[in-house]
Amino acid sequence: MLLGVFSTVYIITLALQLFIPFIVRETIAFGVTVPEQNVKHPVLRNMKKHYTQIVGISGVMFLMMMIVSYYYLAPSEFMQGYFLIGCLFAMLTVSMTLYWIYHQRVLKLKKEEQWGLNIKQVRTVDVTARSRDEMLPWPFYVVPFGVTVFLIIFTFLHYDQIPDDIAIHWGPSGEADSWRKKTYFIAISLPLVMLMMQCMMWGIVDSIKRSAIKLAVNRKEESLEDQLKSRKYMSWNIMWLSHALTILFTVLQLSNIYPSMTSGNRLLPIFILFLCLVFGSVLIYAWKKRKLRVEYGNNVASEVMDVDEDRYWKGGLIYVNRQDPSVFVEKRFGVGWTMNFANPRGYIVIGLPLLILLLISFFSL
Amino acid sequence: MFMQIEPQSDVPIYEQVTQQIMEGVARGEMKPGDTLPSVRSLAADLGVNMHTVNKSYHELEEKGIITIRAKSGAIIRSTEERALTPEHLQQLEKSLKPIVVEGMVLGATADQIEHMMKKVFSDLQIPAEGV
Repeated sequence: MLLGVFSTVYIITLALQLFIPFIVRETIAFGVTVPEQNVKHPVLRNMKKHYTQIVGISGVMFLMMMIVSYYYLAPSEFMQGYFLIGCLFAMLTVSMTLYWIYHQRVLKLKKEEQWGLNIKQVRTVDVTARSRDEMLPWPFYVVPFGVTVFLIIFTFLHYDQIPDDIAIHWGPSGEADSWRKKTYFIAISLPLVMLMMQCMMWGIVDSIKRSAIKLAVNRKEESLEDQLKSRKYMSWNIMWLSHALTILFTVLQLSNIYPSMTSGNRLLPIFILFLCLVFGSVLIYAWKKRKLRVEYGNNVASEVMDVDEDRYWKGGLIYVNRQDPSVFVEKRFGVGWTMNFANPRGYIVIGLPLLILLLISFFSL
Repeated sequence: MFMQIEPQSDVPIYEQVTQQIMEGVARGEMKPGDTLPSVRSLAADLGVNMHTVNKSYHELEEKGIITIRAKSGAIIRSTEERALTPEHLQQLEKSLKPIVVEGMVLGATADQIEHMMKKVFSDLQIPAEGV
């Protein structure tokens, strides 16, 4: 069971790592802006190929090690768990190290060959784009709040019925493995955690909505389509995640009130379904992004390029730009979005619920 | 309508925004009654401060090109609403002067300058690809 869950997570993570260079915009190679006038540089293609080959081979090796060691370390489930996580991190370390090496190389090449040095940099905006934005409206993210509030009231009404020991942690097979003495706070800590997560997801979608729709100056129509669809799919993804979390936590909370629900691994399918939904939505998003990706047949012959924002990207991974009002921007190496660390709004949207969440778990553990 | 801003240009960004919106109206890409994006979202899309866009919208309102309404945002005025006043004409003449002066000093004739004006005018009447 443990191996099954882990190897699925591992394979999905590996697949995403392998294809990242081919999912992100072609004008960004290993976190470095490449002017459209240079996108077809032969060195870039080789780097991406080598990255995928090396990560692929080492990834498969770690996977084999994972399976062999799982049976070798069989008596101790504790050791098994650690080793499985170790293999996952080893694979990620290989891919990040490789990323870092190629990031430096592309930077060097860009400097040596003076890419984009004499090209005018512009920022393009479609003033009608906002009216075509199809992100889901806020009620989709706020309705689950109602479920949480109802659950808290329900818990208080059935407080006497709850057993004296409340489950607060569940193992990978869906069975509770940690309990606390019953108090009013412990009884509702689960719905409170759920509320914070729902807040966070609503905040993220709302901030993405307020963030920039970025166009590629030489591929306006295609990039607009990519942006509008990405925003739409992202809002759908987060909506599913928010609703799935709500269902999962509601079931867990109800199983605290009615302990008979947990007998005989009955919660297992819910855990598996939840995992499938989380990873499935990431995979679908990555696949959609790949299809929406603006393709370049050749180097673009144009006198303009998009604004080179390399100096705002620390290591090509962390975005810090005081001038940019956007809270979230698309990742340069990875699937999804990342925060503008210079924007205080991001800290409120992510940080505040996370802090409260940590406080709740700290006091209820 | 697409807008193109050069962040590194010597021309302030708010002036570029004003100019681009006026050009869009002149070309007919923005029609009377069309709504401009909200200050907040245009600022986000351009990656500039909200005040920059706000300044530009207020400039456009002063010029009589848009109306800013509290709820519905910035709307392009109809041709009747933006009728040319003598004050506007005076203002335009004033802005034109330095250019004509430069032309005169360099030896351009009145015909040449008139031809130039007509060319700019007719160029704007041909709907261009992109900006």
